[in-house]
Amino acid sequence: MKRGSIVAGVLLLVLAIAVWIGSASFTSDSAYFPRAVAAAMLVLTILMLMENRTVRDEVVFDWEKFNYRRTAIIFVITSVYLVLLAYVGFLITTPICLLLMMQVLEKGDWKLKILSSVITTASIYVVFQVMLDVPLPGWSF
Amino acid sequence: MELLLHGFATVLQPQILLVLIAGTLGGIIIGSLPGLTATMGVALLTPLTFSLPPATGLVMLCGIYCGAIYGGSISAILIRTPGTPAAAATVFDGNELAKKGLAGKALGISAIASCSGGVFSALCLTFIAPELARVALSFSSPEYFAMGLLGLSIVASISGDYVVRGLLSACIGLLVGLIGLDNLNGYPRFTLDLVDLLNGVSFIPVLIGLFAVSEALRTTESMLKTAHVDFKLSGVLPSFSELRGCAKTILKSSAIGTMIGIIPATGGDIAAFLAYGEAKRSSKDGDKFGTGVLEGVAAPEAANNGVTGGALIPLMTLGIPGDAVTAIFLGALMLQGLRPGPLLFKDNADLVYAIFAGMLLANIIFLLFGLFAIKYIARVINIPKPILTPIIFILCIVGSYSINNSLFDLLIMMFFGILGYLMDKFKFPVSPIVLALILGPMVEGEFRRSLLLSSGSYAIFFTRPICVAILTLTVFSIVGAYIQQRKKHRML
Repeated sequence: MKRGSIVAGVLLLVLAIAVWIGSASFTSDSAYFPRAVAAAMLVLTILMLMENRTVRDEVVFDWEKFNYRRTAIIFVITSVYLVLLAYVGFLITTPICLLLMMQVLEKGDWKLKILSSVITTASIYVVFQVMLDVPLPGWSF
Repeated sequence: MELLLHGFATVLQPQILLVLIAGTLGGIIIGSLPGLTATMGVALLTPLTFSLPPATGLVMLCGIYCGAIYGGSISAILIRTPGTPAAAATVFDGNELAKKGLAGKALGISAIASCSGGVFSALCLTFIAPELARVALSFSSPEYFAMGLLGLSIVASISGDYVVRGLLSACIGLLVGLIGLDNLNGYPRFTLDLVDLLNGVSFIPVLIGLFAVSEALRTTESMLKTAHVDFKLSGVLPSFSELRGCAKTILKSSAIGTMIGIIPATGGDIAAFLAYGEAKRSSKDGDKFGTGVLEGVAAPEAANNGVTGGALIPLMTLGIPGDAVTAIFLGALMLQGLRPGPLLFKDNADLVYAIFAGMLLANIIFLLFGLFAIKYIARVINIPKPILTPIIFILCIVGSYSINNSLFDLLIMMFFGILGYLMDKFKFPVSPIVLALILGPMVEGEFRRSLLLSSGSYAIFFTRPICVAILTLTVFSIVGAYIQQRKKHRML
């Protein structure tokens, strides 16, 4: 964990300093609380880094077990879906996105996956848009 | 009593009852699926409630909460994998009973014990909360500030072996809570000149990101084969003598669960293990625990559902959430334009008692599902993970979008999903972010209001006895948790 803690510690220190500097332009009463939180963060991060000296080195990411490719592909599919959602609409993009994700996670059994994608999309549409009158993103009927 | 009857009359309206039944069933299904915790379930389904009238939406959440905690026992018994952390202790005897071919009986006693624990705690909630709220009516800004700080100090105790990291997570939550216009003077803070951030960061997308998206991302790492359950679930109803044998354990465990629930920062898992330990210690057949005895299922199940009502007591009376689920509950109340605390009992008594009635009825409803429909419900465990995980992703997206119909909220959700995922890898607990995000604005607001009352003098916090007592408790809570963690590290 040592290396992971150092990376996290540095990021937190940068954040705390950024908050301190960022609040300089606030009115004095608006700046009080952010500065108190930034100061607490600084102290706690230093405490964490000091604690870290006595902790044995642990693995943060277990690369052998971690299927980063699959997680990355899922992330990309979700991101593309979010972009397309506004332009193409919920009813068309959702079953395609679901099907792609299901296929990435486990190949095969197309029939079950197509059926699950369509039923899920239809169910969400009926519950949100029809029953609860909550609009879904983008163009939908 | 009249108010409670009025609460029942509200909840028994066909539309609300139907929503309660659907929520409870949804909760059972989510709870029974390993990897989907009660927190994730409540976070995912909260967006469904905000378009409903307050009583209907909140009663639905009661159903989801109670149903999910009970549902955890189904997979604990059938596939030795607790559906929620609160059902971890149920595995010991529940799965042993299943191996002996008594899965049906184990599920039956689990439903009865869970219902008893839930009803007991809901009754405590109904009768203790109004009294506590009356006391809290005398609180002013300094006391509320101290209560908020105490709530934040809970972070130290829910962070396990990582107290400092938990406090750092809370700082991140406090910073997120600061984004937007200053509540007192309207000054924009950390908005990065984005109009979407002027009203602050929406709570629900943060919640869904931290609890659901991060969990779904973790699931994609290793797609384990889904267990296929093929149990013959017969004989679900326990005999009268079996029930009599468990009655004392159920009652005692219900009381343990309720008390643990009232103490902030504890939770169903701690209550279940404590009750299991106590049942084992006091039972005549203590040495048989772990080999498949009904009391070994009844004790943790009565206790973990006992927590549900207990945990709502500090939330409803003081506005202090004790854990992640109650923090979401608080968020749901705020989405409906309500502020938990003593004034809620005064201004919205109808709604408060509808929630109490909803809690009581949710327990009865999952008992009926557990006794008469478990054969069908248990099949959800067979849903393959590669089918389920993408569905969760889509529900996260729809849920986050539907709060404000904002695509910006989807970015917030994704950001916090990745943040939650990375924080878990770096051993930073995520629950403190939610607690701090909720409590931060309250702590800051009450602090500044107190200073306005005292014309800028800090003495106001040290001259009021209740405020001093709460602040002392806060200091003890943080220092105690830190010393405990240091001792533990030295022992290792």
